[in-house]
Amino acid sequence: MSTAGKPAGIAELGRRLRAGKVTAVALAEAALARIDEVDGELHAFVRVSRDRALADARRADDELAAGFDRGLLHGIPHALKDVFDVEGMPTTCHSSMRLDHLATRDSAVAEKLAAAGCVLLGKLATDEFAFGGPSPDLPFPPSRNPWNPEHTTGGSSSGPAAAVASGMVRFAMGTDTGGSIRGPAAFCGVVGLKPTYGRVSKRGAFPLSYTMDHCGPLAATVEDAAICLQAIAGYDALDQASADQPVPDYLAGLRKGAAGLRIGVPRAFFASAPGVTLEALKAIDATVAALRRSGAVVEDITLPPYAQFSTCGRVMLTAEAYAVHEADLRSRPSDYTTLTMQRIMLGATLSAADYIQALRLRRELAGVVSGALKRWDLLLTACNLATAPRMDSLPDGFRVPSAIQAYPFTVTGHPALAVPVTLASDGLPLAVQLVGKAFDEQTVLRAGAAVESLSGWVLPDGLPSAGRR
Amino acid sequence: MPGSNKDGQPEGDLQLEFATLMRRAGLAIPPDRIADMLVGYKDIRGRLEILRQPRAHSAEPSNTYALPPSAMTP
Repeated sequence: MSTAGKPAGIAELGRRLRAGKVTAVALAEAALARIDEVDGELHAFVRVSRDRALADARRADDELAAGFDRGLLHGIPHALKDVFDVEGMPTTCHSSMRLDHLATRDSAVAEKLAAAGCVLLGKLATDEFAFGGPSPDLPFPPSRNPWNPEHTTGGSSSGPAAAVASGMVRFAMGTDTGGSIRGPAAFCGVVGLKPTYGRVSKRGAFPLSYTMDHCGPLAATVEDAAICLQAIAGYDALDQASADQPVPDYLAGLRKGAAGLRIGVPRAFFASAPGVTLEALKAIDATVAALRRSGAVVEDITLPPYAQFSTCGRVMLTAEAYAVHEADLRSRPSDYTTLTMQRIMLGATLSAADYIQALRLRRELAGVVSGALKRWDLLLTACNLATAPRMDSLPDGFRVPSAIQAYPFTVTGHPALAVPVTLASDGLPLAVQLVGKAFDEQTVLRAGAAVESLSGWVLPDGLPSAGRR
Repeated sequence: MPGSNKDGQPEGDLQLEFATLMRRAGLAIPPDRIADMLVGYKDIRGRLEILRQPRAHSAEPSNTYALPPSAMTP
């Protein structure tokens, strides 16, 4: 599908900046105006840092005028999920417990984006501690889906998805532990990249699950996501999980197309999954057909049952999140929102043996997926089995698993990319998910760009008004 | 079986088990949230057997500890 009003990507904005056709200050002012225009309805931001944004933009303009070019992100507005520390700003994690918290130094991601000359607009909404959900007892309203604000964005990178989909920013930073980048990306029709575990430093990001947390971008296009990853990837000796792996050029080969790629489809993951819609299945099949027409080899493959990945992931995530919050849950449980409290407290019911068995299964599952990726360049699977639910349909209490299939690749740590491909009949987006070999984000992004091109997907300008039905 | 979870465990036993685990952990659940938490507990408890796969003693330990090289330098 295609729509009118394709906005300029990061690379094009950079060309305009360097040609003197626009200034970083103008870009920042336009972004701030857009926030003023739509965020009252969408609630993507919990903090708009106007002074910081304009100061960053003026510095970018001065540097570019002086011939000091920091690269493609120089002068580009962005925002961070409010789990990332920025010196001097609160990192609230969307919790009333942390409204007065002030970060004393930048997170690694904030450092790298600042070094790249990015302009920071502020902090974005998240599910409480990246684990709760939309609920009435949050200190700030939950984000709403720009395609239809009566629907959820998904979480936990809810604000980043809403901000990108509505054109407030071209990219935003999120985190993904059980699908928290890819789920909101799919529900909001933007690209969401969960890099390989350890590819992007987690230093200064409030943890949910130490062994499963990943940091990555949500962006309007695959190219924009690649540009962001280029800036934030790399070894950090201060993050014990950081991988000392070379950082390739993620833009090289981005437009090679899908010809020659070998792609496996673990169809049993989604074909009969609870809640999968016919439209979601058709979207995947259409993507498969398009890839085949463009010269890719695409075949169904078999992986271990989805339930093994999801159970393994849930046990590890719940146990590790509980360990993070144990002291506060004992001393001040009522300061959490009810949903967050309920979810994290379940970690106390898990035994050490449960956790160790999950770790053992994790290692086995990672080996199986890595083995499959020796025979296949990529995997293609579902991202959202259905479109984003209505806000008023979300139950108050414990929530059953969502329509997002993301656990397998936070369990195994392989890079995974959500790419929107079409709108369903309800006017809400559907996406597919591409998974690659460890540290082979280049191939994942190449395939993502091919899928994006083949589907004709373009994020329209002007959501939410452009998307209203 | 009515009043049981899918393992056939009576509901009352499950509630007692959950309450014991919460007490052991030092956690106080607001009374109006216990029912919802039991739903979550039943769900996660019912899945745990998936983790139990036949594994030989020789299976690699999941979280082998190793010292970083700098700690081994005299």
